Amino acid sequence: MIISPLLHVDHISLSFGGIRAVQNLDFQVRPGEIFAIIGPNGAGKTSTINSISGFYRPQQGRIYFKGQDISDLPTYKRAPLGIARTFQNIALYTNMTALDNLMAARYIYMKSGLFSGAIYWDILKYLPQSLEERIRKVWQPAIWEEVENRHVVEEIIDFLEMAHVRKMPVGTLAYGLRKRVELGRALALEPELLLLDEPMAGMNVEEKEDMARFILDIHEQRNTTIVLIEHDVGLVMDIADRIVVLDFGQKIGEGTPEEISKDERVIEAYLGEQGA
Amino acid sequence: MRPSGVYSTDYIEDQAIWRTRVDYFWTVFFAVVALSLPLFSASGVFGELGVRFVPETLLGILTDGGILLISIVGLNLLLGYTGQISLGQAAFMMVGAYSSAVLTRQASIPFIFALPIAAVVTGLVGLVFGLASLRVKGFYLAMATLAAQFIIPWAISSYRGDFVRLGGDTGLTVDPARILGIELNTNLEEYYLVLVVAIVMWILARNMVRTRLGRAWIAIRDNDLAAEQLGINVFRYKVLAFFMSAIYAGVAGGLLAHVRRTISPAAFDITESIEMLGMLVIGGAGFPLGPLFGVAFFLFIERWFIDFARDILIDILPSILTFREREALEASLLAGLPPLLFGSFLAIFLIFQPRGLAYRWMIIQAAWRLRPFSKA
Repeated sequence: MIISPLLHVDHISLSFGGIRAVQNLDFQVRPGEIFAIIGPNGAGKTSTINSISGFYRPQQGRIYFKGQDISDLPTYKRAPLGIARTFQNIALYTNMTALDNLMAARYIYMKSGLFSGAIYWDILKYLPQSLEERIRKVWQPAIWEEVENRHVVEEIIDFLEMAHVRKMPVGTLAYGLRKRVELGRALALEPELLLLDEPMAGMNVEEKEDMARFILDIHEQRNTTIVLIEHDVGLVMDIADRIVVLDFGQKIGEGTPEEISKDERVIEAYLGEQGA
Repeated sequence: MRPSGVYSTDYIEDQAIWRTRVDYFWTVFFAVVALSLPLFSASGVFGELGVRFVPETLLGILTDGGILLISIVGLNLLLGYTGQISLGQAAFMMVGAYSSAVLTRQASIPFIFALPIAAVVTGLVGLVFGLASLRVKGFYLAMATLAAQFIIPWAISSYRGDFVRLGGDTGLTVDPARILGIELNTNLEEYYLVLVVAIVMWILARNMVRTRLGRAWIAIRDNDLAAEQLGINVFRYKVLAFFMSAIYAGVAGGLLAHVRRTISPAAFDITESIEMLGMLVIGGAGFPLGPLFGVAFFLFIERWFIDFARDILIDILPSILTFREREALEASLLAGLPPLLFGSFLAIFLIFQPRGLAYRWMIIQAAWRLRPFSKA
């Protein structure tokens, strides 16, 4: 049976002046899998993720998400389709609290604008239930939406075990926690495709294990498809369903962890000889 | 930080602006003080009975302060929350002032409608100048908005057309505000008008920044690239911030016109813009209370500390000067001292308290709540 791919990166090429970051890269990500991109530094892994999320525009090739060509879609229109990402160098909203960071990501699910937001309407909570419902039917002040989305966000906070820091500005948090908040922010978008750019970089073993557990849980409980960049090959071999290996912007191998660990070119370029 | 022992049982409560009894107490306290203050002036109810400890000039100062506050709350939305700088706030106030003046006197639209219309007109002008934020940031954006500060006063003072009268360099006389047939022309009435508008505008801004719109703004300020990849149309929200900020300037300008009764291009020059920017920085950009602290500090400096400093300086002037020389020196002190003092305070704040008084206030609050374990 052929499963239609969730994401199809169709022969993209991306260059910056003379540097060819990605050359003719082609791969497909099936729904529900954990797909890893590995390769040496400068191989074009992050450029690939950036092309998918819209930060870079590949000069050649197309990118299809759920069968839709998203290559020319503006960056901000990709998140509502179901693509979320984290960044290699944490890109949180540093002065907001962890909670607000997650709430900010609920943006695409919320509607309140200038007027409903500005009026907010705290007073409604003092009104009797029946009157409240009637007002709600006519006009939707921001307060309901805030509360509904707060429930979703609190669930994620619970899931990522960061309830104790929810009201702390993320700028004051430790590195590992910030990474976790960033993962939470991506989750708050309730994505179908989650792009994780080195989620475990710079972490100690314990933090890495926590993060791996979160990734597996997200995958199982939410059935999210995950594209992962990671340098820890052992970990990637453990959690990934399929792996693509890049070197100098080109694909040098693709397959299951077993296939990759036996691939001659991959061993030569990245993994190294056994016992060498 | 919340004081120990305060719990919320639902999210509505947790997200409320006023959370604790202390919050309510101070809000009610200041509301009562602000509302009853003018009653004790010469034209107030108690004042007429002989209890008058509030001088009329204080009401005038507070009215001016309230107008400044509205404009700076708008600037705070733009600079403090969206991270976009604007050096044209005074020019936008000018648009609001002239629009409201023209609408009430020459188009005979009642003040209560003219003010919102003037605000929207100003908003649209602000939006046009905000378009520059698509391409440029920081210093370059400051220069682009500086264009507004030069173009708008120039355009208004050199307009000689027949469509409306703008009065050129001499400016216009404006009618007092009139609401439901009541003419608001005493210090006391103007004070109440500005107070009510300022409170409403402040609450609206406070709500804006704690909902979806405000979080989108803060996201853009803190990390515009991430904001875009998380689904926020960055350009749209930047322009919206310029629009809102100009609306606040428009309301402030409109009120100013009807309170001062005369407006001229000279009253809205770049010094005003920079002073407002300075007040916001001193007060704390990006904090709800920032504008309030900034304006309070500025009024304290401008209306009290400067006189105090001048008197001291005049006292220690060498007595060998002739009367003429002394007079000239006093005059130059009068002109030179305000910018000098304000500039030095701004510099001191940028070095020692770059996040402003509001941030310091937060630290003090946190320290008080952590007592006796706090170090601050």
